[in-house]
Parts: sequence; structure tokens; C-alpha cells
Amino acid sequence: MKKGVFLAYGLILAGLFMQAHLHARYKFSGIERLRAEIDRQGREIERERFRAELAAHEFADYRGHVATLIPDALKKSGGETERYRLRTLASVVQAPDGDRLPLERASGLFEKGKARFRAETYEAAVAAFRGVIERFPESIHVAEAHFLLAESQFQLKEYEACLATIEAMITLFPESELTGFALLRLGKIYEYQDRLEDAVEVYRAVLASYKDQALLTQARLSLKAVEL
Amino acid sequence: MSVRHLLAFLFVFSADVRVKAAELAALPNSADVLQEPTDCVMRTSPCAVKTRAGEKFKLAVGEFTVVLDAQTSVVRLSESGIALLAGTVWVQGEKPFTVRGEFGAVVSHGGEFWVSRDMERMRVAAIGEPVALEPRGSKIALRVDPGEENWMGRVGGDGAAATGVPQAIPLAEHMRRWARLFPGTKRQFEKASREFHRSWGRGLASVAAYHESLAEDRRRALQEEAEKRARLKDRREKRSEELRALYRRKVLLD
Repeated sequence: MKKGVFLAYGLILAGLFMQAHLHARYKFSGIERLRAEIDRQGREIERERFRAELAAHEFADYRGHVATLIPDALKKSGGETERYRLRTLASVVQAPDGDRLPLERASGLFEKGKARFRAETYEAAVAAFRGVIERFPESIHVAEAHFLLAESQFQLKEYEACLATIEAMITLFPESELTGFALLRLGKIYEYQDRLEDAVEVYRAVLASYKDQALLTQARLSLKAVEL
Repeated sequence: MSVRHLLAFLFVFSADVRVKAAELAALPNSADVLQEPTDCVMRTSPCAVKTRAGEKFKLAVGEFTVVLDAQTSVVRLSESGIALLAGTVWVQGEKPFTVRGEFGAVVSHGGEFWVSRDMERMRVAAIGEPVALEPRGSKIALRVDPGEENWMGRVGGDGAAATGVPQAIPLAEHMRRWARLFPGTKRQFEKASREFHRSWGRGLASVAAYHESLAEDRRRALQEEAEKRARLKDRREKRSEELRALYRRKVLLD
């Protein structure tokens, strides 16, 4: 009996001692102080973020104010340099006008290509027409861009690339009159490459598929010349 | 039906009810909002306030009550106006009140309305009385009738903020945000929502008529656009004759 009581007391004392030890270790380890510091710094970060949000709001408010002034300033601006500066500013402060711009850019690029084609700088023209086809595939200029690209490639004697472009035209715009002209060019390339049977097929295809009189006359003449 | 099926049915039914109730749970009031300058809420304007996640806050602005949803930032500018930086506010009062923002201002001559702001838009829903939207850079104010919602966006190339067309307030979304900020009991909320439903129905009817006229205008505009395109196509055909002559010369004579 006495032994049992002694053991129970011993266990209770050991438990109390361990509790006291753990508490003292926690108290003097600095964990509590560090936790308070983390909490304080967390609140400081939160406050700084809020200040940053207020500053961002002031900036956005100012940006909105500037954006309202630009149209009037553009009307009143004198020189091209000033207009360029204002347009650059507008691109930053105003909402992007996403619908209209791509088509305008497609037209601009196509006109640039045509000017280069007329000036017989065919390499530059090829770059412009490729740009129209690849970047603005829904543009109304795509068929003409294909034709002029094929023609520029022909002038540069890049026959394989020219053939690929004309094949793309046949796939994409089979009913376009421009494809008829491109096919005549295809026949000529086959003639240069001594592929006379292919050339005959092409001229016959033009005769069967198109109604333009000049196109038909030339197809007949070309066919006659090849068959002779 | 077996006992297992009955239990499964009861479980699914009770789970569904719990989800819906959770969606309509009210947020607790914040005891400690962020303030800039420190402790400015009890003093005069200007004072910037921000609520933390999962908390709402009732801000006193003159004679108005402005309830801030969770993670909402506002600046109290005066006794009759605030600037909304982010989040959602529910404004109630009897006198003229203005909520400003980057995209424009919302002006109320008394009544209850909601304003939500994200990066791209400031959305306004009128509840009891109409409110006016004054888009930045525009001389024309837009009216939002009770039960309707409209928005303002960034300033575009014409120097005026973009605006939307009036829509009926999206009911489910509105009920969720209202329940989050509603101060009363569940029973009071049910009663208030039944009243709101009536004004929302009237708003829906007026918006439907407006959209009908809008669709007719759009149809007419598309028809005019098609005619214009046809005229342009004819003109372009004539212009391209010259270019085609060039093609012919180059292809046929080379």
C-alpha cells in the first residue's frame, strides 16, 4: 500500500516537473517575442500595401484625367512631332481600341507592299505581303496580297516559293479572277521547267474555270504555243 | 425504396441546403479595419479605409450608411461622398451622395444603391431610387433606374469613359452580396428580398423594352453597314481595274 502511494506521488511530481520545464523552456526561448514581432511586421506589410493601393488609385485617377484631355490636345496640336508624342501618351493612358486597329494596320501594310512592288523592290514587297497574309488572315486584301506575293517571287526567280503561293491561292480563292492570272503564271513556270504536260493541264483548267475574256484569250494562245 | 436509398436521398438533400445557406451567410463586422491616417474613422474626412478578407464594415459618412464588403477600399472624401478604390459598397441615405472612381462618378439624390469596382469596370445597381452615372470626360449623364445595373470603364480614344447598356441586376449575384452585408435576421432578409424582387421585376420589364429598341437600332445599323460595304466594294472594284490592267500587262506580256 505504502509502495503504491509512493509511486503515485512520484509520478505526479515527475509530471509537474516536466510541465514546469516545458513552460520555462517556452518562456525563455524567445518564441513568444518572435511571434509578436511576426504579427507586428505582418500588420506593417498590410499597411504598406494599403498605402501602395492608395498611391495606385491617385495615379489611375490622374491617368484618367490626362486621357480625357488628349483628343482636344490632338485637334489643337501643330506639328507632326507633337502629334506623335500625344499619340504615344494616348497609347499608355487610354483604353486600347482593339477592333479597328488591326484592319487599319493590314491596309497600311498592304499599301506599303504595293508601293514596293511598283518600285520593283521585290524583296521588301515579299516581306510586306507575307506580313499581311500571316498577321491579318481575315483582311480583305489577302487575295491580292497572295497574287502580288507570287508575282514578286516570280520576279525574284524563287519559282518553288512562287508555286507554293499559287497553290495556296487555288485552295483559298479558287473562284477569284486573280487566281486565274496566277494560274497563267503557273503555266509559264512549268514551261520554263520543261513540264509541258503540266502547263497544258493548267491552261485547260483556266479555260474551263474562268470567264474573263483577256484571261481566256491568253490561255488559248499559251495552250496553242505549248501544243505546237 | 430501401433504407440505404432513403439515407442517401436525405444526405444529398441536406448537403444541397447547406451549400445554399453557406452562400447566403452574413459576414461578421470588422472590429479592426485598416485606416490611413491611423484611427481616422472616428475623425473627419479624408480617411481611407480597407476591410480584410471575411469581414464587413459599416462606415459612417455624414448622414449616410456605407457598408463595405470584404476586401474593399474606400476613401471618405466629405460628408456626402466617397471614392471607391476596389471591392463593393452598399450605400443608403436620404440626401444627395456621390461615389467617385477612376472611370467617373455615381450620383444619387437619396435612396439605396450598390457600386462594385474591379480593374476594368465600375458597376452600379440602383435599388430604391434612380441614380446617375457621370462617365469621366463625357457631358452626358446616364440614368440607372431601380432594378437596373450599368457600368463605366476606362477612358477611350474619344476622351470619354466607356459605358454599358442598362441590364437587369443579376439576381443570384446580388442576393449573395446583399446577404453578406445584411445587418438583420434571416426573417428580415426574406421579407426585404421579397420587396426587392418586386422592384427588380419592374426593372426587368423596362430593360426588356429598352433592349428591344436597342436590337432594332442594331439591326438597322447592320443593314446600313452592309449597304455601305457594298458601295465601298463597288468603288474598290473600279479602283482595282488599274491594278488589274497592270497584272495583265505583266503576266501576259512577260
